[in-house]
Amino acid sequence: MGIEIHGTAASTCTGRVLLTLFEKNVEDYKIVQVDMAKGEHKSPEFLKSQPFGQIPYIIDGDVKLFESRAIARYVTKKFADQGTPLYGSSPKDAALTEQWLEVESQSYNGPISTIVFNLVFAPMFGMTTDEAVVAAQTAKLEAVLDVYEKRLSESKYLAGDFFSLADLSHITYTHYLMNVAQKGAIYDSRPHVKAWIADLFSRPSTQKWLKEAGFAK
Amino acid sequence: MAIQIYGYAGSTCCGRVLLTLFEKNVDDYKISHVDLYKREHKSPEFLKHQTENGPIVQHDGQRVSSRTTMRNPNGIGSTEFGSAFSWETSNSIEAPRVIILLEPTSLGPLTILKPFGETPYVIDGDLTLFESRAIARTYARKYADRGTALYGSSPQEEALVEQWLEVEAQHYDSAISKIVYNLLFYPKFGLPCDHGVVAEQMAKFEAVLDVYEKRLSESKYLAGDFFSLADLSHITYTYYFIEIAHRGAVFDSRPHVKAWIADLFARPTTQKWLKLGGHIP
Repeated sequence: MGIEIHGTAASTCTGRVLLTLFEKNVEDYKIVQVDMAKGEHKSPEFLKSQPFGQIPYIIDGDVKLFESRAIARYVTKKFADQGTPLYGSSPKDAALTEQWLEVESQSYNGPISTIVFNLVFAPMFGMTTDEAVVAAQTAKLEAVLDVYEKRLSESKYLAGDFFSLADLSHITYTHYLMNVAQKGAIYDSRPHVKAWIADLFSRPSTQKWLKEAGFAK
Repeated sequence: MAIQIYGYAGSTCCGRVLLTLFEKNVDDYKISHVDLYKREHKSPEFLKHQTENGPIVQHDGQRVSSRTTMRNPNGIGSTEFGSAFSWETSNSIEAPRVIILLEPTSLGPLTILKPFGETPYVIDGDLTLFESRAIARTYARKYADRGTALYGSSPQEEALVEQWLEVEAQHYDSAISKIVYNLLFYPKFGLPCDHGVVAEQMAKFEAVLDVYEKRLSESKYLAGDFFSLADLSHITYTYYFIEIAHRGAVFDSRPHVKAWIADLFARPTTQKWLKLGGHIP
């Protein structure tokens, strides 16, 4: 019996989990759709599994887990011997992967998720876009991307010259900002960031996610 | 060779690293204090305007212009303060000085996310690492065979540790850090405390604590019946919140959370950090 993912393929955080499974050549998984439009993720039943009312969570045998980055780490470790070595090939590689995964989580995710929420999801749910917040968060994101530009001028990927879980963790929200909200100009002015993103989006696993999520044919 | 830690021992994020080393019985470390020259009602902005009568500013023994500012090479989070600064004390704790470091420096890249409670970085052989949770995870794994089993004793337990470490990073820290920064750290730099943000984040924090109360009514610690890196990661900010910002009343109505915190603070490693960080004598 494979991994049961409760979520929806197109969501940023469910996508993070799917990308990890794809990089690890894991095919034995199943998506159990959570009906966000109906508020299923806030139902008492759902809250027993994910107390913050967010997707995804997974069930893998007797392991039940939420928080997409925790799930991604779990999948990476469980399938360490197959697919892409998402922690590199040494303890030093692993440490740098964790560092940049924390940077994504602590510095990139905050601004980008707020911008994407305001520009993409708020209108979908009939809520207002807070332009002042978008402007403030865009300024923060620009400062973060300046750091990335410098880093990626020294190193092909964030943790070193190998694609890692840290790079992967950026893909889904970047897709929403760039391709759904159409705000990719922020990356264009930074040539190393731009090249890095083009590389991430050319990966077969990214293409597979875009198809499964309904963004590509 | 000792692990070199650049940070302020008493700070929240440096504390997270130190607690991990203590739980692993690692003694071979050295702290280079990165401290702040604090003057009343002064903010980082003052360094742009200060006169030659201001704090002594030196680099490598040379006095540099107090108007010299430079961009933090890792500039994350610098937008709030215009330009970012690096500070370091001389080794004399009695006379901390502000030193503006010219890039590149022999210390390597310094990452400052916020002025007080700087994220530490460590140099361990040929590895330079920042982000306190990344550093903590790295040492929890490197020293897996000794000290407290911070990742539990099975892959299932390890997965739950990672889950609650993410909960801490995403939900708990997000609220508590904004509260602590506004109430404690911003005023130290002459920046205003945004009481609206404090109120809004307190409401979010209480909602998170309700989840914790339920979890801790089922399980002694977050990942199970064992103390883990996930519990550890909460200690330092919670200390600031309760003992320095005096907001501990929110825990009184949540007995399991309250008991859990008391347990965390009673640990010898926590007490060791509190002494080293200057919070208790």
